[in-house]
Amino acid sequence: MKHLDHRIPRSGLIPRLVAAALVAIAVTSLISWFCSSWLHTTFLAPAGVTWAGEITITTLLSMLTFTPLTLLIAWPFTRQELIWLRAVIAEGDNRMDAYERQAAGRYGAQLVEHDLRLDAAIVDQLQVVVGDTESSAMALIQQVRKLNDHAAELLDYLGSSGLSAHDMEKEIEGSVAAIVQISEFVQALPDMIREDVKGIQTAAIKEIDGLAAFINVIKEISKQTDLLALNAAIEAARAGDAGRGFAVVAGEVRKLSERSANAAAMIEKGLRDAQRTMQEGLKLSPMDRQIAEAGAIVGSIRKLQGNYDDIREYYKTLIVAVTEHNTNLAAEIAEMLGQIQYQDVVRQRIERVAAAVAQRKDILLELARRLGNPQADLTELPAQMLGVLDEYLANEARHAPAAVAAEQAGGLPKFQLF
Amino acid sequence: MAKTILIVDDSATMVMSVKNNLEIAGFKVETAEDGLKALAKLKGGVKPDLIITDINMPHMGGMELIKNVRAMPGFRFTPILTLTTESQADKRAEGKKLGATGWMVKPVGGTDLLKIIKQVLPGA
Repeated sequence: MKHLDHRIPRSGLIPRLVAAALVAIAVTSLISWFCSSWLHTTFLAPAGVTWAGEITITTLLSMLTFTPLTLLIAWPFTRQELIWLRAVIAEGDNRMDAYERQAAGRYGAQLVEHDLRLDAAIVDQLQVVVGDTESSAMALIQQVRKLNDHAAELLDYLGSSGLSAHDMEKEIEGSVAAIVQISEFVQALPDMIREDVKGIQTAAIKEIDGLAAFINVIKEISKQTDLLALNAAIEAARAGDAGRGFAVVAGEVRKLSERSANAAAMIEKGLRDAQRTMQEGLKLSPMDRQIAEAGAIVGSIRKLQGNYDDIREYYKTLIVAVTEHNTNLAAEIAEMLGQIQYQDVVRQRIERVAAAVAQRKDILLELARRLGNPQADLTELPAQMLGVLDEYLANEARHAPAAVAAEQAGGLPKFQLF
Repeated sequence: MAKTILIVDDSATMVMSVKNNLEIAGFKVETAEDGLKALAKLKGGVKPDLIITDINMPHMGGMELIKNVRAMPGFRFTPILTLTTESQADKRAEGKKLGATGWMVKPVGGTDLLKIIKQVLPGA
């Protein structure tokens, strides 16, 4: 580029300007001299202008004539300087433009650089947010799973408790049935025993009565023997000395008769005692009290069975209620696990933002590079940036939130089986 | 016997969310981070009754996975459901053409997911 010599090209500019001014004054004076009388008679006097007004008007007209005349007359004297001055001013303008463009480019590049750093920081932070939400979501899933496991354990526990109670109840039912069976047998047994005992007692009494008849026979024999012994003793006395030995035998026979009578009396007494004991034994049995106690026990057991029925019903109700709550809980947990999927939806949305920011970064880098060159063409960059925007918006429209909105608006369903 | 479901997604959150939901419901669950790993599992002997796959994944996406699974012997009629944020008709049409059984847009509530699975796995 050609640069001007900034020194003034010729000396003597001021004398030339003064000379031009003097020439202009002279020309102006001549014009005023020739025109003043014409102005006075033609315009000012007919208009009734005063002397002072006439002086003012002619002075103004002289000044208006003098200035352009001075410039016109000065032009040939100062032409070279004026051309030089105009070139200097033009170069200054150009230099100013170039400087301003360079400054703007420099600032623009700095601005782009800072903006890119800001973008990078934002994207980094978004990645941190994605990581944090992912960690939180995973922890939440684990907690939800534990919650479900605890609920399942509770249900299992209640189920097994109900089963145990049911088993216990079955065992008790079996025991009660056995006890009832025994009780009924025990209740029936005394009647059987009583009948058997009664039969035995009757037979024994009958036999005792039979034996009593034999006692009477013995008594009769004893009485006959006593009479025989008495008759023998009388006959022995009649026989005298010859019957003395016979009298001794008759006395012994009489003693035997007395002993037989005593033995018969003792046997009779024993038989009567036995008969009385048998008859009293028939009147009362100690088993009656035990039978009554056995009946009371059976009643208690049946009451216990009733209590277990109540417990079983309670368990059934409890298990049904807990199962229902657990089912609801499982459904809520399933929904919660579904909602956690939003973390992935948000993650993908952030990734799409990051991708758009990366595309924007390339364009901004190109902008910064071109801003450094005042001659560079920037016209294609806005279109490129608009392309990034269009692509980002189109990409967003393809994804989940738009789908939900579309379904709500009667478009494609969220779930579709082909 | 519990039905086996293979979940394919590069998001650990998604995998854990769906896995826990299905396990609580009584399913046996296998997982893979992308299409390549899912194919490796299938070739390694895993025989799922249902495959649930994401579409946008690194290494191998859902579309390519569906295409490869349908080409494998023994998997021609295995139900494959997509679970993705993609929702547009052209993508659905592409999935259907490749052999997908159904299309689900994330996020899917746990109850809805189980209802859909019962439709493609009668008796599950």
